[in-house]
Parts: sequence; structure tokens; C-alpha cells
Amino acid sequence: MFYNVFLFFCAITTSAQYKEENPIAYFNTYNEVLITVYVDGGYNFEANVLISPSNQIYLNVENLFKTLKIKCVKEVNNLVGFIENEKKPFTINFDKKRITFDSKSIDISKGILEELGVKYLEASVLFEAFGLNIIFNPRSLTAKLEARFELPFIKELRYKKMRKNISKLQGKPTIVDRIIPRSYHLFKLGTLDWGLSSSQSINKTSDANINIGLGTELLFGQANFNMIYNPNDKFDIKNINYRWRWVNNNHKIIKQADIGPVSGPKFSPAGGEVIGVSINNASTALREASGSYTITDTTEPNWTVELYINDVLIDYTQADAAGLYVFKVPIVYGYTVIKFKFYGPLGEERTKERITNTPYTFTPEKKINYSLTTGIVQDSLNSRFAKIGLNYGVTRNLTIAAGAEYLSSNLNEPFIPFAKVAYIPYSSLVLNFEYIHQTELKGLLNFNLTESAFFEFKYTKKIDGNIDRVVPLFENFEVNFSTPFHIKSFNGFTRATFNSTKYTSFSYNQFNWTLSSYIQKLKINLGSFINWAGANTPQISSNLGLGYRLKGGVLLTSATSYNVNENKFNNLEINLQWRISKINLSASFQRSVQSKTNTVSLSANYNLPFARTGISSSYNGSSLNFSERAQGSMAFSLDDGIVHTGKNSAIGKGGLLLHPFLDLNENGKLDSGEKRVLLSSLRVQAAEAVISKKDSIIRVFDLNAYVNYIIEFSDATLNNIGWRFKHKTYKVLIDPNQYKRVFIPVISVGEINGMVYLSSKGKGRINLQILDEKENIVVETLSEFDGYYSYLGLKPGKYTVRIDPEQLKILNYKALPKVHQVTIKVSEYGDIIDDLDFTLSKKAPKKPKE
Amino acid sequence: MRILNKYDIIMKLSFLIMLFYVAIISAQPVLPQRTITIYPSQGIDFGLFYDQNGSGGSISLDWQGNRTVTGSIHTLPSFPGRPALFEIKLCQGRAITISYPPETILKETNGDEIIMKIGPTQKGSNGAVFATENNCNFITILRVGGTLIIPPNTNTGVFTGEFEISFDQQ
Repeated sequence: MFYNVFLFFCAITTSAQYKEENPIAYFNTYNEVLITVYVDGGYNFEANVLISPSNQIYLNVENLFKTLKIKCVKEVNNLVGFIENEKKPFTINFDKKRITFDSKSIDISKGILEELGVKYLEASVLFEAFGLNIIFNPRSLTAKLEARFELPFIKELRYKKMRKNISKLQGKPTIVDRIIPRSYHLFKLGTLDWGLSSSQSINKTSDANINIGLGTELLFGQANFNMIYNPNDKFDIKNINYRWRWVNNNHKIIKQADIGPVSGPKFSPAGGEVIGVSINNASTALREASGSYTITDTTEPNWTVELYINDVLIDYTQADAAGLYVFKVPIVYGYTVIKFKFYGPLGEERTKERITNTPYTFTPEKKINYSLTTGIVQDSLNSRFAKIGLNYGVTRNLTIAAGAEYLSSNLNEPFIPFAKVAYIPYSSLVLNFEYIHQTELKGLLNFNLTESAFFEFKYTKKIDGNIDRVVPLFENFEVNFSTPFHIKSFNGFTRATFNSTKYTSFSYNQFNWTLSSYIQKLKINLGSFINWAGANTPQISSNLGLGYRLKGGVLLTSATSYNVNENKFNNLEINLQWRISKINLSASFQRSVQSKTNTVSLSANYNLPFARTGISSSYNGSSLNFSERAQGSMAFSLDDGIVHTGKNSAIGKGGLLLHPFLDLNENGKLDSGEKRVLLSSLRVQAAEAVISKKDSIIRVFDLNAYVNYIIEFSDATLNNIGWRFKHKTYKVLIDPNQYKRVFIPVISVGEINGMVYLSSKGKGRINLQILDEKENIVVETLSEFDGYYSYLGLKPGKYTVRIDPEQLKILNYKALPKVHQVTIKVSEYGDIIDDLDFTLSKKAPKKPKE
Repeated sequence: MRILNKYDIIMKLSFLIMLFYVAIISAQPVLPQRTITIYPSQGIDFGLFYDQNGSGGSISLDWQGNRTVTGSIHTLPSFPGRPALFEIKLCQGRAITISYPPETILKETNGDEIIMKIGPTQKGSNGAVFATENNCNFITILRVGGTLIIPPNTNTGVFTGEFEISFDQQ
């Protein structure tokens, strides 16, 4: 059955013809309406649909598939393409009125409409044929679209999001409107960490500690001071630890410099900490090399773990009943700050940061990275220490390194040279070799067998040199294997480690095996640990961890360890955790079979806005212990008179104070007379922003220093329709131990409006052009069906408004007046210029030349 | 900066063990060589563990390599630790008495200290007597465990120290 339908939004050239149709008949049957279609994942798009009197919707399938990025090509009177992949082609045959897809052929004769060559299909036909379920809500003029397959449109957005993260890793510049680099200061305050702890034992002495840390910017670098003071001890200024750190990724020769405690000798024994200087030319920004490695580690059971690389969220997972978690981490050049964030099942949050201890370092191709460290060992001899290392990127995947270490107290061999090679032959394989002269030989192979199965082989051999050593000679190799598994509905992860150390006359071997899985709400972690020395009897023990979430958020975990050799339990433990009104409580019972002791522990933790506090007690049959603790931090901004208190450490971190303001004179500065602007929201990458209604200043805390953060603003968050952000995206490098002030200019924009008439009636679909003083087209807009047009968003300045000359030529119309000259004035709420009307009339046909 | 109650308390114990050579001189009859050789092959390592709420406790690593904890100390299975190992070589099968001080102090580079209780060993506690094989080439491996006493609110760190064990040939 055919219907005569009419298009509102067809091309202008055809719009001139529609008066010849009969719109009344059409409007009585079907309405063409623009509706919003919502898709899973928070996405939406708009589509023109025809709505029948019974509220059935008909969609332009060609346009719909184009929006959803489903391959769809017009061939004569057919539409052909595929769903998901080329193996699933479809054909919509409009002549035979059939859809062929997935070995089905469906009659669509009752669900098809056609007008002016545009084909419309009823929503139910799309569901029957392709599994595209479109549920229309006529009250809100919206529809929800669900698909049985992943829509290419969603897939593309997902990949785009993922790639955005990867591009950050590769150090590729993110396109932003404004970049704010590091600012250096001679002196600036500051951040402060504090901590108090005390403990008491019945019939024993009590103890207390005070921990104070101060973070500043001093001599253009970050300077941190820290001291732990015990009131029972005498105050000694020597107990104050300090560290000065300077970073400039744009400097050619020195990019990082440190003064204070530096990493000490690696190949010789040192009698204490090394205080000295360390410099290198490795950038703190990240660039991804090919390849990846796997981190398998443990935390507390059932915690959620997030993995960040330079503050970019890469992945997250949940630890199992024994706290085991696994991440696949991309290898990056140079130094990497890998951060784990841990979220407890009761809402606890804690951050552990660590520098990756990957045994290999890769340097970008044809680049040389050096590092130089020198200092004095805090031993009785005040031994001197120095180390130099050079890394060269031969190719993108091959880095060679050489260097030497010097320690004056190592009389036999003060100089120890070393050489390293790191190579990635394939993205799934990483090789590393290291030779330390007369000390050690090391080899490492990392191999990703599949997407998630990981194999690692490590070999270490101590070489018999003349070096004064404390570690006896040995040869060690370790094999690690980990893989997830899926057996029917049973999913899990298993890991096995074998470590063998060969000493002078025997070997010590360890085998560790872990299986982690879950059955509905029950998490299980099962493991075995075997060790044997020489030909002696192997010692075998097994452990089982269980976790179960009860009603009301109460988490019950248990752990037990069993000694197979002696056929008895080593220990048993039961823990209960729950949360009552922001207080995290836990109670545990432990039974150590070996020492025949029972321990009962109770603890309570409470997080205040400015501190973490906690009390705990334990009783083991002979002693009763109590402990109390509190810790927090402060960050100051003397310029703005702001003191921020927090419960996390603030030293070495930075913050942002964003000042949005109405920049009337557009000089980018907050001048007197210019007012502050209160935003409703904004987005800061990997951080949370707090908008103060009191002073409109946006505070962003806990940011990593020397890291670029992307801040995104949206005009929709401004509470005046005539306001616009001058720059919508900012990239700000965080300065250490301070709040960085960033002014966010907001400008007010003007509006113009008017009518387009044709024969005293409003004329729709007429293209209006707005040109600036240099006659560049700033923007184009269309008149609505009644002839009204408007445009909001013009910065203060002079403009020319005209009707598109090309369109006038095609339609053979002329406009009166030809143009309107307007001036948008500077105004707090935006200038409005009304009544910029145009009247169209047919041009007189040219008289043929006689 | 070290943070109180930081999540992981990683403590690895390296060691330096004294070699004890005891030669007892006697008259007739002439006995075979009585040299005892003891070599410290492997240091004790308590592996990875953490203090859950900062109230302290203890962690024991027995000579078999099994770890048990008390208080708010929890072990992490990713690195299970290992007992200390001694190679003992004695040509003539004679009894050996083990003796060691009850405890030793482990230090962190910033000056923090924790106490490690030594033992028991595979052959028993302080004062235990055991016999080695009557074969000069036979190696007796002695495993030694220990217990760390973790005070409340101990800072995160790598604590190292050394302990002595005396082997007296009867």
C-alpha cells in the first residue's frame, strides 16, 4: 500500500515545488517530526520520522543506517550492506518489498512508505529484520534504540575514547584551545602533612609519634621537608629529611634534578642512605613503546583496583577473595608513574603510588638518555658514591645501555661497569639482558602468549669476582605463568610460579600455584605452596580464601592455611567488615595453631573531611593493645587566602584554583569591574573539581605535579544564554606544592534576529550569512518555516548580514535590503539586535536582447 | 615522605651470618679430621605483608616456610618469603649444639627499628642438639625461621639486619 507523504526538510530546490502537493491530506495521515533517539551508553541523535495516527513511527532507513554507521549502499532500487561484519549481508528490495538478512526473507509490504523517492520503514520491520528495537514515546517525542548487536556508531565512539587514552600515553599532543605551562617561583608555600599516632599496651610502655611534612617551592624547584618526632626522644635537627627536585621537560640538557637522598649503590653493599645529587635528561612525559607486561599483585580481598599511568585511567579490576589482581600494562619510554587506586568494599579509598620497577628501560629511537648520581653514604666512613648510565635507542624497539658505579668503601673493586640490552622483537615479547662486571648476569623474557595469558622467565647468576659482598654466590631462575580461564560458566584466573636458587652445594626451590574464581556471590582463592631444599622432603602447605557479601553490605571473609606435611592447620582467620553511618568497622578472629594463640581484633575507621582517624584494639590472651591514629594534610594559597584541608597526603602534589570571570574587555585578565562567573560543572581529567558558590573559585585538589591536566568547559554550564567560554579546553601543567591560579575568561555574545518575507508571508529554508569586518563568513543560519531567523553567539564587533547570494541566484529572487550592517556592543548579558528583516521578490525575467 | 599506616609494609630481611669454627684439640687416640664448615646460603625473608589498621602484631615464618600472623598483620601471597638456610658439613658424625641470641634488631635507613625473634630452627630451639651425617661430603641443610614483632603504626620500609648462630661441636 502506498501513501502520499510530504517532506518538511527536503532540499530547498524541491521545497519550491511543494505548494503543488496537497499538504492537508498528508497532515491528516502522517506527521513528520524531528525526534531524539537515545542509545545505550548515554549517546543520542536526532532523526526525522513519520508518525502515524496510531503513533507508529516510520524511519528513513538509509539516513538511520548512515547515522548508526551501518554500511548501507543504494543499488538501483535496493539498499545493500552488512550488519556487524561482511559475513552478514542484507538487502532491502523495495521493488519486491522484501528484506533479506541472516538467511531470512521478510515481507515488508505492510511497513513501507515512499515519498519523493525517500523510503520509510516501520520500526517494527526494523526489529523483525535486524533486531533494532526502537521504542517510541509520543509524549516526549523521543525513542529508545536497542540493538542485538554492537552498533558501529557506539563501537566507533568506544574506540575513540580508548584511543584518546592511548594518545595521551604516546605523548601525542591533545588538541586544546589553551596551554598553560609550568610557572617557576623563587619561593612559594605550600603544603603540609601531619600525622599523630599512639599505642598503649597493658602492663607495657606506651608510645607516640608525630609526623610533620612541609612542601614548598624553593629556588624554582620543589622542596620537601619531613620529620618524625617521638616525644620520648630528644629533638635533633638531623632527623629532618629534605629533598629538592627540579623538572623541566623543555630543557635540552637537564630535564630532572634532585638533591637530597638519592638511590644508592645497586651492585655493592652500602652502609646507609646516600645524600647527594642526581640529574638526567629523561622527560617525565610519557611515550608508549610497543609491547606490554603484566602486573600481578595482591591487595585486600574484594577491593576494586584502578590502574593509572601518569594520571590517565587505563584499566580497573576487582581483587579476588585473597586480594589478587592482574593488569596488562603498556610499556612506555623512560620513567613511568604507575598509580593504583584502591576502593574498599565499604567505600574506603586509598591511593598507593609507585614508580614502575620494570627491569628494562627503553629510550626513543636515536636518542641518548643519561643519568648521573653522586653523593656521600651516611656510614662511618662517609664513603663516596657515583653512578653514570647512558641509554641509547638504536631502534624504536632496541635500547642499549652502559655505565659504571663507584663506591669508595668497596676497596677490592670500587668501579663496577655494567651493560644492558633491552629488545622488543615482537609486541608480545620483551627481552632484557644485563651484565654487571664480576658481579652478576641477568636475563629476562616476558611473553604474552595470548591477549591475557602471560609467561615470564628470569635468570640471575652471581659471578665470582673479587668484590666485597654479603650475598653468597648463587644462580637463580624463575618462571611465571598466568592465564584467565573459561570452562563453561566457570570463569577464573590461575597463576603458577616456580623459583629455583642454586647455591654452592644444593638448590632451594619454591613452587607457588594460585587459582582464583567465583561462584555467584562467593569468591574463592585457592593456592598451594611447596618448597624443598636439596633432596630433603618438600614442605607443602595450602591456603583457601573465601569472600561473601551478606545482606546490608556486610562482608565476610575467611582465610585458612593447611600444613600438608604435618596434616594440621597452620592458622584460621575470620573477618567481618561493615559500615555504619560512615564508620568502617571490622572485627576479626585469628587462631594460630602453631603458637596456640587466639587473637581478637576490633577496629573502627572514620574519615573526616580534613583527616583520617582510626582506633583499634587487639587481645591475644596475654596482652591487650590499643592504638589510635589521625592523619591529614593542608594546602595553602596565600594569593587567594585559601586553605584546603584533606585526608590524603598533599606533599609533592599540586592543585588548581580556576577563576572564571566575565571578560568584558577581552584582555584575558580579571580587571576591576569585571564580575566572577559561577559555573554549574566542568570536567577535569582524572580529578574532581569543587565549585565554591561563595567565591565562584573552582578548586581542584590532589593533582600530580609536573603532569598536564586537561580541563574542559561547556557553554551549557554558564547561567546566561549569552555567555561563552573564550577557550573551552585547557591543558595546565601542575606546579608542585602549591595551588596554581588559572583565569578562565568568559565572554558575552550578541544575538541578531529578523524575518524573511516572500509575498508578505514568512519564507522558510532561506540561508542567511553573517560576515565579519573582513568579509569572512562567520556563520550561516536558516530561516524557520514561518520566515523567522536568529543567531546567538556573535562576539562584540561589526558584522554584515545577508541572504546567501548563491541561493538567491538559484531561486531567481532578489532581497531587499541587500544587507544589514550591525554592531554588537560589549554588554554583560549580550547585545540583541532585532528586526533585521529581508523581503524577497522574484527577479524580472531578463529581456532577450534584440 | 613516609605515611603512617601505609598500605604495604614491605620488609625484607637480609642477613650476615658468622661462620663459627670450633676445633677441639685432644690427645689419643688420633681421630679423623673434625673440621666443621658452615655456610650461610640463604637469608630469611618474610615476604610481603601489611598492617591492616595500624595496630601492629607479629608475623612468624617457621623453618618450613609457612607464615602465620597475629594482630592486624596480613600476609600477601604474591611473595611468600623463605627461611634462612645453612649448609653444614662435618666429616665425623658428632652432635652439634645450636645456640643463638633470642632476638636481633632490624633497621630501616631512616632509623626506624623492629625486633626479630630468632628461631626456632629445623632441629629445635636455642640449645637444641643434633647429629650430622658421618660423611665428609654430605651436606646437612638447616632451616631457620623467625618472628617479626611489628609495633603499632610502623612506617613502611625495607628493614634489614643480621643475626648470629653458634654451632658447637661436642
